[in-house]
Amino acid sequence: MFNQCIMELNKTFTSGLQFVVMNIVDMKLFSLITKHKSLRFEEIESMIGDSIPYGNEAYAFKDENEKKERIKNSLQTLEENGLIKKKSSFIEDFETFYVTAKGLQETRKLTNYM
Amino acid sequence: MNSDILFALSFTFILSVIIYVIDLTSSSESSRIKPLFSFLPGIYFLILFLGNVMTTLITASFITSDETAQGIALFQSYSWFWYAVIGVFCFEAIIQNINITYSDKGILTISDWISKAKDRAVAKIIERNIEVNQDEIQILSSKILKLDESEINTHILDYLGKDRFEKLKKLIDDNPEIDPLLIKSKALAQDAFDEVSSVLRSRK
Repeated sequence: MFNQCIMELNKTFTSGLQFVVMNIVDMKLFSLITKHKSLRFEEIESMIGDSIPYGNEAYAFKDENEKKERIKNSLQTLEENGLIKKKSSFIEDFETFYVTAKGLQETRKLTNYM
Repeated sequence: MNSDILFALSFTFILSVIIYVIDLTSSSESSRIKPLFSFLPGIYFLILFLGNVMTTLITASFITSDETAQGIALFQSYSWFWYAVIGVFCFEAIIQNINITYSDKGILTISDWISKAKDRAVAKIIERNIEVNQDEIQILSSKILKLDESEINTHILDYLGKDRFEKLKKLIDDNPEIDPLLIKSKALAQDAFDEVSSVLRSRK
C-alpha cells in the first residue's frame, strides 16, 4: 500500500516524458513563444514567415490564408494542451499568446531529454 | 545563536533576494520588479531562501567543527560572510545532487520541487507583465488619441513603416465597425511605445 502511494507520488512529481504529439508548425510556434515568453499574433505570423520557407514540402503554405489558418489551428492545439495561454483582443492581430507553467515544464523536460 | 550565525543568515537573505530578482527577471524576460512580489513568486522565494538557510547553517557547522577548516586563514575574520557566500553558492550544486529515494525509487528530487516552483513563478510574472504592459498601452493610446489624425498617420509611417501602415488601413477597411483612430493609436502605442512616449514628453 505504502509502496503504491510512493509510486503515485513519483508519477505525479517526477513523471517521465509526457510530450504532447505536435506537428512541425505546432513545434515551431511553441519554441517561438517559449523563447520570447509572449508574442502577439501578428508577430508570430511574421516570424513564422521568416523561418519556415514556403518551398519546403513539410510545411508549405499555399497562400497567406492557409498560413494564417494553420497558425491559428496550431495555437489552438497548444492552448488546449495547456502549453500556452491567450489574452484575447477584438482585433486578432493584437491577441497575445504567452507560455504557461506547464509549457515551461515541458520545455525543461525536452531540454533534459535532449 | 551566536552573532556570526545571525549575521550570516541576514547576509543569506540579502543574497537570496539578489539571486531571486536576477533569476526571475531573466527567466521571464521582464524588467519590472513589482510582479515579483506576489503569491507564486513568493513561494519560490521561500523555497530558495529556506534552501540557502539550510546550506548556510551546514557550512557554518562544518567550518566551526572542523579543525582543518578552522585553520584556514580565510575563515579567521568575517566568518559570517564566508558561511553565507559558500552556503548560498553551494546550494545550486547541492540541490542537483539530493534525491530522496524509497526502495530504490526516486520519490522527489529537490531540484524538481524548485523547478516546478520556479516555472509557476515565471509563468505568473509573464502573465502579470502582459497585464501591466496592456495597461500602459491603454494609457499611452488614450494620449495619442488627442493628436491629429494626420500626425498619428505620420508617426505610424515614421516608426512602424509603410507595410504596417497599409496593413492597418486594410484592417480598418475590412472592419468598418471599428474606430480607425483608436486602432491606429493602439498599434502605435504597442509597437513604438518609447518613441511615441518621447514625442508626447517633448510637448509638455
